[in-house]
Amino acid sequence: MKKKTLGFTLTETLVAIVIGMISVAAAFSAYNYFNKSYASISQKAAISKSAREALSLISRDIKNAGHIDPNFVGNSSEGISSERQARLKLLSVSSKRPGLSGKYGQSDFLGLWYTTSPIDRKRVFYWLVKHQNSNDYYLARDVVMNSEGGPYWSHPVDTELLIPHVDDFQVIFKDKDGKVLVPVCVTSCGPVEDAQGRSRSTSTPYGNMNLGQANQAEVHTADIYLTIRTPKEVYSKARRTKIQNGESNHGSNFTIPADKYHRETFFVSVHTRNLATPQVKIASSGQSIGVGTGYNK
Amino acid sequence: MVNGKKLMDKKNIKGISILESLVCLVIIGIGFVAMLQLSSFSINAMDRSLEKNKLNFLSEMVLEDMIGDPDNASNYAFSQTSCNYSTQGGTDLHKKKKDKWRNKLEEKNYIKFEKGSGFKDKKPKCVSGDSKKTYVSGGIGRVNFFTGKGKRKKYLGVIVK
Repeated sequence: MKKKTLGFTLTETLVAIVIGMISVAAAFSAYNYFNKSYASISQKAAISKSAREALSLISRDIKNAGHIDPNFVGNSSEGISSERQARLKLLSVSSKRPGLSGKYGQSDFLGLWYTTSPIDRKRVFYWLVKHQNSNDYYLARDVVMNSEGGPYWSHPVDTELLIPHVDDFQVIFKDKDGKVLVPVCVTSCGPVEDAQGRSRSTSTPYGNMNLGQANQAEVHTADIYLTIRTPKEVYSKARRTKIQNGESNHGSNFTIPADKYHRETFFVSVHTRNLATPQVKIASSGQSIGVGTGYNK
Repeated sequence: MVNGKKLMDKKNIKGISILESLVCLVIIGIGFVAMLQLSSFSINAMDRSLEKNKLNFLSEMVLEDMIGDPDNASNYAFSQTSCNYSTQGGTDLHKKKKDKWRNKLEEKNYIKFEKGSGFKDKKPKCVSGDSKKTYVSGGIGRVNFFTGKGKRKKYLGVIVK
């Protein structure tokens, strides 16, 4: 044997290998854990952001819905010449229309109108649209200025993808007493609204309208439900999800087959600023402002 | 071993001992644990953020309901100090609205996930000490949410009238 031995013994090498392997395994599992956590966090952040964007926009539009500029009648570029004509399209929701109701066939189609100047009126639609060749649906927003036609017709936002991966979109209107108000529908209406008596003639301060049109002015609150899933799979095990948005008989109720996505339902309730407003009376005469014609409303 | 002993007796020893390497491993392990905790903290933070996002919407709901019934705003005072909500009924608008708040705060019947042979409600995190309160005075409505065992507070206010 040499006097001076350099290098490791076999035992030292084996111990070093074992320690090294433990370290590598720990590092690998930690990396895996961080990776999964990051994926999960970013997916949840994505749906939170989507919900915030969509609900803020929808809330703002619903607050504006039904606004009629005091000088709109007579000046409208669409040729609207009476208060009644202006009030035929304010706010509308239709349920479960084939082709407009998302992947599970239960979503709503929301339409609303409001004036942005004495001559212009904006029409906004929200509904679920199939994303190209995928099996996913996104919440679309479509804006048309002066949709009835005329020189100022324009289509500034054409079926824009607002937020992706939406499983359900429900809008429930309620009147000033907190009761569910149906039907409130003037566009894309279908069998659901027909069964609710949409075509029944109803007397209003602006002349006879059908029930779907007359109910627009009664909408006091809009409850909005939005169910969104994560863009990528989050869970390691597939599971089914049950969605129940809205009130009983007015909303959705379906089960999504087992998958590994995380889902969240976001809810917001909005008070309509321009509809179902308290009737103001002139103190001296007791006459209601807003019922007669020619008064600044 | 004789030669080996001679080697150990030398002043100039090259390499690290098993004890040193184990100490080193423990230190690295502590580092890993710290990193894992950091990760779990960030996951919890994200969950809290998601819940707070929902709380924002719920606060808006409460304030919108107050704005929508300005003449009766004083009836919208509300206090919910437990995590179990039960509707109380009533035909007045403010009573219906408060029952709606109770349901929405619990996310009742929103979304359910499969668990075992049935479905389980997905409820927002609520622990003892959490509470939801509204105050209305002088035409000003306020919403207070206490979450995280009452440690995290969120205040929102609105002029109702």
